Amino acid sequence: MAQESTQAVAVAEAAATARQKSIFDHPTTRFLLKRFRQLIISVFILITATFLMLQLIPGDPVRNALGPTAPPEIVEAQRALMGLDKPLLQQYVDFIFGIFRGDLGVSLSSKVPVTDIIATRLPATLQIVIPAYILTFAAGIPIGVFMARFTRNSRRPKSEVAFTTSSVVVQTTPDFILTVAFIALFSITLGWLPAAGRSGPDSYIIPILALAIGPIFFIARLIRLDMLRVLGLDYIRAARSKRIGVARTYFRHALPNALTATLTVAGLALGSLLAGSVLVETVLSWPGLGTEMVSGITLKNYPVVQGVILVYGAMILALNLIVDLIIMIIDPRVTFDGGAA
Amino acid sequence: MSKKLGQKSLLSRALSQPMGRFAVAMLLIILIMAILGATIMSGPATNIDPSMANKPISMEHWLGTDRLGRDYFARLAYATTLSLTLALTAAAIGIAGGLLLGSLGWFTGPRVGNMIAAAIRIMIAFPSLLLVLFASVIFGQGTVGSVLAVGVAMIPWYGRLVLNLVTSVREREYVSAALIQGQSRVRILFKYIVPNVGEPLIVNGTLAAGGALLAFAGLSYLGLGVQAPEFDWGLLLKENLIAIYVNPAPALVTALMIVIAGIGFNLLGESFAKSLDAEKPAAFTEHPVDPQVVADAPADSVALVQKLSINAPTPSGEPIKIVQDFDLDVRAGRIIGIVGESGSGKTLTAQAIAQVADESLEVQAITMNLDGISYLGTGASEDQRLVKAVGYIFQDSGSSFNPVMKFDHQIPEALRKREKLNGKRKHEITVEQLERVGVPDADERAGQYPHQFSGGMRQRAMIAQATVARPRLVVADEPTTALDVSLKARILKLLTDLRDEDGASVIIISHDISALLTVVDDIVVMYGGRVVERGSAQAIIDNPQHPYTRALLQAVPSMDTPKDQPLKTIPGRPVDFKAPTPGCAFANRCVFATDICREVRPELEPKGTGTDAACHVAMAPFEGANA
Repeated sequence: MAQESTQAVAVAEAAATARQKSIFDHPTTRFLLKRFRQLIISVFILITATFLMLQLIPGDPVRNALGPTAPPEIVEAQRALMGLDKPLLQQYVDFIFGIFRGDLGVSLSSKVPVTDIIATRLPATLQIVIPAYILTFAAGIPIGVFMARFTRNSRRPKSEVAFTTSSVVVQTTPDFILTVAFIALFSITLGWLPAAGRSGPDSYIIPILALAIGPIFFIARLIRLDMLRVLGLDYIRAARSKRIGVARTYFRHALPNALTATLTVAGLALGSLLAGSVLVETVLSWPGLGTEMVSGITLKNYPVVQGVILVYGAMILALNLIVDLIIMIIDPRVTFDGGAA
Repeated sequence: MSKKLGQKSLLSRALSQPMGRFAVAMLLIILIMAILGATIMSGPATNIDPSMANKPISMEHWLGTDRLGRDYFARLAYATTLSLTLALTAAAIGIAGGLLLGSLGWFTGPRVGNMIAAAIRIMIAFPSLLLVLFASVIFGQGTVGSVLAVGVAMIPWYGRLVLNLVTSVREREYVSAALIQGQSRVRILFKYIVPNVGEPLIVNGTLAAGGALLAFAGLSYLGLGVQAPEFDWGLLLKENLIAIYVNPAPALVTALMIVIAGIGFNLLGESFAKSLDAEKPAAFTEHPVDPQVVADAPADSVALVQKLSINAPTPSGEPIKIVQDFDLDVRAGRIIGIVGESGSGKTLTAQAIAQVADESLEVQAITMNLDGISYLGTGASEDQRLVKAVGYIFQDSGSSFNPVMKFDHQIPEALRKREKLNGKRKHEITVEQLERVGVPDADERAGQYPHQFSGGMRQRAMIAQATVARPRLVVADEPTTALDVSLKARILKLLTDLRDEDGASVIIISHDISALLTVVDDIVVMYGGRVVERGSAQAIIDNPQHPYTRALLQAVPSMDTPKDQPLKTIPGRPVDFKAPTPGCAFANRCVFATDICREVRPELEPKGTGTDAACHVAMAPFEGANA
């Protein structure tokens, strides 16, 4: 009797497993489809918002850009060139098709295609942003794990307060202020590093450090809290009962679980690192997208601003997608729960 | 009125922490600077006097003067006034807009509410600085444009907070009750919802002010915010940076000011939030183990424990005594049941014996031998000899497997320091173990995650994991709880198989004495952290000597229990560990208790009926489990 019912359960479970085998019904596929749909909607909203930006500017954007003294014929010619004389819907459709053709318009000041400007400027931005991301995780995770181990069970309350306070201080300090401080220290006082511009390898140190330090502490703080939470869970005690050593308990059992929770929250911080690069680039006169955008806004060079905002927006969406995929790889449960919102 | 009260208590609670006092001190500096800037410093900040140009730091000019002879310190104070005013205005716009956006769903119903929530979620994905720049393009540069840009960019962030808070209280009973009474939704929002979400709103409002301040500094630094001749921190920093090689002090002090303000608001917000949180966990203290005479362990002893006590440290310093004077001698091939209701200390006892107790607990004993090796003192839990000595089957198989690891990575883990395990070998071991405990399709199952198993399957996988190294002692914590009757029988059979096939000893912990009676050789009954009775299973069933054991046995229904009578329960409440009594812990629930029971604690002693019991009362012969 007991045997029979157990077998019945087993058969039912085996059937359930077999049903999951279909590729389109597989939880991972379903999760990816759902995530992809979300991405499409976000891209659509990004494009629409960028398009509407020009319409929302009070007054005539071309008149704003060319100044009150520009002759009306020139203003009209420029409006026609930008397609602003067409019906709104037509402009919208043209804008979307333009993006897919790689045509983002022409700079109002230099008449260079916006895509060319982005192609020249993007590498400089990526050269500081990508190393900053790598540094954020390479340093933030070990520091967080170490601090969790160090302050576990409220063993060192003073270190805990010191760490929390200093991480809030560092995190709150805007990266452009950090850049100023680094220039004052490394360039002016010590004379080790160049104060501005992109030149030799040493010119990368200040921007990368300034971008990464805040996020490093942010990640470290989250990792510490999530590690402490995870270390109190049942499966960590179970892992310890296998006598696998502290290192393996922390890094193989606790960290992946802490990391999923941290990454869910960290997406935003990673986005602000990218946003922070706009300011850091400006302080250092770094020839990247950020300086281009700022001068674009100041000069009311709207096609350039729209193009750069699209690129930044796309980078943020890509970043969030990568974070979600990493979470999916680490924690297979998200695909079963229908995915993190 | 109530909001103001909440604010006050929040501030005083924040001030009771060092972090809160630090934050308030920083904000006071900013406030004093702002007042100076609005009053006596406003003249010197803007008066151009070429005769005073480029003066160094002096008593009159704390930071020197710029190339137009304006006092740097006065300019800093002046900028502080403007920065603070603009940031607070922007924060107010953000908070007001967020309140409106976040509570809109409350008025419009779920459909619009969901759309708003989705829109907020997408906007939140973009960092606030990019939103500020985006809004700055629309609103234009200059003071008004940048206040609007910073404020509007904060709306989605604050809106999400309000949305979450409103969602969390809208289902509460008092809100439903007010709705049924026909009160207007506006009234309910302000009367019932806002006061209940007020504190988090203040916390985040503080953080929002700090964020606005920093965003403003950034925007003005980029030249997109305040425009000359007006100036705030951002613009002042940009201006002072030009002269940084000549006089670095003004630029650095300006930067410092921005940082102080940002940190002040953030730390204040943090300490508000912290004062709302629960109190701190207990402090950790290490107590040395008392070295005392160690009794010689018999040759076939698998586990020998003498005078085990477990204390939980408390913040007040007086530890809670969870388990006291626990003795146990497990011989080879025996199955021992530890019985007691929840809170009797049985699980912690078993974990202490198996060397898996929490690091925060103080575990002391005179003897703590497993497989003939003493594990007294700290740091013993990673001893590799323990792998062969003890395996632990944890209570809740649903939470005791690592959710992100496949079974073939978890189950063989105990062996990894004894032999080289490649992926193939790990899989083989797992399949073998799963087959042994009767998991069908073991080859496929071994590559699955815990959430893909049913409860009964996971329980078997747990047994497979605990026995992978063929340990001499297996501890099973409530192995059959939450399983149906047929699964219960299967699991208990698996545990007896361990003894029969591997020659292992087994400790089974259960709150349900009936679950054990058929399989165990000996029974230990725990109450209030102490052993109240122990003996062979037969002796305990036939003639239990402790009233608690009798009560446990009488609570067990059998085939003869009349169906129309309610099941027997043990009246009274379990032991309060925080208020220990001098006498027998069970006295206040015991029908036989006399004065001596409440004053003198009975020792565990042989009762001449085959069991040891800790009871002052000479019990009448037991009339059977269902009398």
